[in-house]
Amino acid sequence: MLKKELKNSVPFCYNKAMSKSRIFFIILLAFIAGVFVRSFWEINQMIYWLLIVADIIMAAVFYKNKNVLIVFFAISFFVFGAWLTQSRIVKTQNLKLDGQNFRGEALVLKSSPNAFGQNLIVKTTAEKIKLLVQIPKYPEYNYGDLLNVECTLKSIENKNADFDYQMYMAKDGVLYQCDPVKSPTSRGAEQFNGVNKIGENKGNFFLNKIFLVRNLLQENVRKVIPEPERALADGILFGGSNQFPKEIQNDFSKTGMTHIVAVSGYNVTIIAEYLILIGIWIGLWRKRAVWFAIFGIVLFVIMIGLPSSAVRAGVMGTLLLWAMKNGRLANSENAIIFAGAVMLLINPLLLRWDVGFQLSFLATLGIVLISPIWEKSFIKKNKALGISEIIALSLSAQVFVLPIIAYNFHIASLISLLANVLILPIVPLTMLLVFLVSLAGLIFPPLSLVLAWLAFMPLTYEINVIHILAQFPWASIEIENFSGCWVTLYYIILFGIMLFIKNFHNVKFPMINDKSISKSKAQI
Amino acid sequence: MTFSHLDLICHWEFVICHFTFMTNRKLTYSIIILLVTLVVIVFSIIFSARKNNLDVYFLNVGQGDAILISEGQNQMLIDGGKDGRLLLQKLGKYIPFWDRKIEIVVATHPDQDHIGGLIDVLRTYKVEKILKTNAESDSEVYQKLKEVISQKGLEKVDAKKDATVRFPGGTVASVLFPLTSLPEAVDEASNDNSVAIKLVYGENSFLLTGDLPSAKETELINSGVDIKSDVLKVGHHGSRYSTSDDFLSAINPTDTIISVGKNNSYGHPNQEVLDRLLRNKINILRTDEMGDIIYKCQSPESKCAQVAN
Repeated sequence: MLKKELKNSVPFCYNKAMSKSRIFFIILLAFIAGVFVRSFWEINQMIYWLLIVADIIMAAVFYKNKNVLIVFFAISFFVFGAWLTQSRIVKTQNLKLDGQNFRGEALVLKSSPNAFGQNLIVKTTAEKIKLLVQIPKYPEYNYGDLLNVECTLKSIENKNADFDYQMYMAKDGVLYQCDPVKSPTSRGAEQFNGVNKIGENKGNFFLNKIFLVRNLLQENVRKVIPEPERALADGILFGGSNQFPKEIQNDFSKTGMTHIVAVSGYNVTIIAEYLILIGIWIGLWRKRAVWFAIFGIVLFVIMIGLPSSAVRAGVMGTLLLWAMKNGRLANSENAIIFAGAVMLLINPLLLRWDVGFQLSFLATLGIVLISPIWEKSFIKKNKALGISEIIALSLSAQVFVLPIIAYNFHIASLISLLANVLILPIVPLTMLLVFLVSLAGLIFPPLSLVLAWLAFMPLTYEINVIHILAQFPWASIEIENFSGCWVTLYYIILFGIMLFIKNFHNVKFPMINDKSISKSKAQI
Repeated sequence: MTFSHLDLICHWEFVICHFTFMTNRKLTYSIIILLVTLVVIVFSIIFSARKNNLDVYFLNVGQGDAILISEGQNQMLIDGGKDGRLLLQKLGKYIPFWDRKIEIVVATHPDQDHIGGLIDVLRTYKVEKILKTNAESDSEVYQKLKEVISQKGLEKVDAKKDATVRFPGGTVASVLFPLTSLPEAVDEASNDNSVAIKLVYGENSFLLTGDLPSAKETELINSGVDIKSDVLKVGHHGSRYSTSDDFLSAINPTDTIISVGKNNSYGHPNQEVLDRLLRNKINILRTDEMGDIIYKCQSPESKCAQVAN
């Protein structure tokens, strides 16, 4: 299927021979395919060697043929991707420390509070292994705290059959949970003696500062915006829906609006725009304003803790901005594949075990592949981000992520299109206001309060609209038993239809066309 | 779990639209709209600030106590359950969005199911005073609460008989128990020194007794104060060691509130207590069955009405 697609795309390239960008695309795709295949299936050691040997022989015999060389590189990268994944998977299965006692120093890398406790990810100073420590809410620990930990190491348990928590943690290199030694106190309550703080600010200096800024900004929002609007404000700006009460979380998933509290390309784009505007406003040249925006995005993505969706959006956003600075626009297919390949090179386990990664890439792919078709068929090119635009983009993304959501969350939202139309247009304004609230808190708190009243309006509108829409009995349908087979079948059919339409309509990819380039140049 | 359906980063036109959007004329319009919104908000704040009727909320915070008393712009929070996040959601629901101040917070005694949620409240809202006894606890939660109280520089009011909080609209909350000031020390039997508060708004009265056990209820009766009330928050989540027959007949309430979590491991409320209440023909309102229980009092002369949430 892939080969056919590539063949079909060739005529759209600038010249008949394969362009460099097309070769680049194929090789990265081969790498990702390698990661994909090994993530889902075991590959016998022999097959790797056979592939490599065949690959080298082929290259040695036909080295004069350019196409054969491309195939050579493609196979090599495929094997490389599979091998990289293999080595990471083997590491996650090596649990030789299970059941052993640990005693020593550990640095807090991440702390996420929940209702009654906190989950810490710590890295031991001596052995450099990452551990999950689950302890009560108080005392609180933060990034950079140095702890003395005494506990028994256990492999991480899956709490429900639905979600592979073990692999979810393993993808980030966390293989053990560390249960601190408990001892009953005089009053019968259990006290956790296994964790003691012995130092602060021991982490990376730069990260310490950046998290400090984030905490300050979050704190400022917390002081002036009440719940649950505060949770939405926090989610829209910094990502994360886990701060919502259950009912609101359900409302969001029923209406398919959880994406607005996941930092994705949408947020990153809005931030990039605002940064460029600020850059120009403070008198930077166009190119410098772009650098300013790139710098801001990188800082932002680090600040929110590098979730997959934001990293993807950050890499692609940076690519696009860089291309803009240099006056030529990247091919969006290549931008996607490049972002994916870079992330998988760093951590190949994301592909299978990070739903955020899957959703993020599939949604983007959907938008890039399908929206030109919608546009060609029924959307007049008038004002961008009109309602028709939002409908086209939402539908494109949804068609691509539907099976992943059904598979993981057992739900399909029927009302999400309407919800997107009603909510999305005011999200940029909401982000801006919330950001101003958090910033004003640093400079002049009374202003922060007044801005908070303004920010409260769109926030409460969003929560209430989503709540009302979620009440409709047909807002969403529960999907049980949506197995991996169905997911595969869905994508095979989807890509089949895409291919058919593409041939039929002769739609041009990528969607970035000359008209918009000249328009964007005129604007900046 | 992160989602991101709608990724627009590739969608170049989107970027362009925003640059178009930000033309000067539209910017001016946006600013005007924002200012008008602001004026409307300010007027509605001023308008509602003139109201000073009393609302009493028995918040459903699971196994624990949290009672919000709100008179116009003035709030008093008695206990905070154990989960700060849940409590903040409740407060967000009942305190108007522009009001970020809770005038006084009461910690009846230093048990986790009463003070656990207060830490987040002190960090989030501007709290002026804290009314508590000197009884301490060696728990991490109490230590954290103590730290936050001193960090925020809250004015501490010692909770003992005759300590009184007067609201501008006429509501009076007075401490009935403990009878004397407590020593500053870890209190092993913390329930014994729970703060009991009587809230009076004209014709209406509420008695809130924290986790006070029966022996101390007797002390309270014998102290000679008027404990007769319309509404009683049943002591210690309906435990068998509270709410004696004598106490009930001295209070003679029409309604009782049991602040309790669904299927809690303590077996609260106790069947004997429920029977006792039924025998005395007293209404039983439970937070685990009804959610938040709300009383609205329109004026000091008329009876407060319990309303559905």
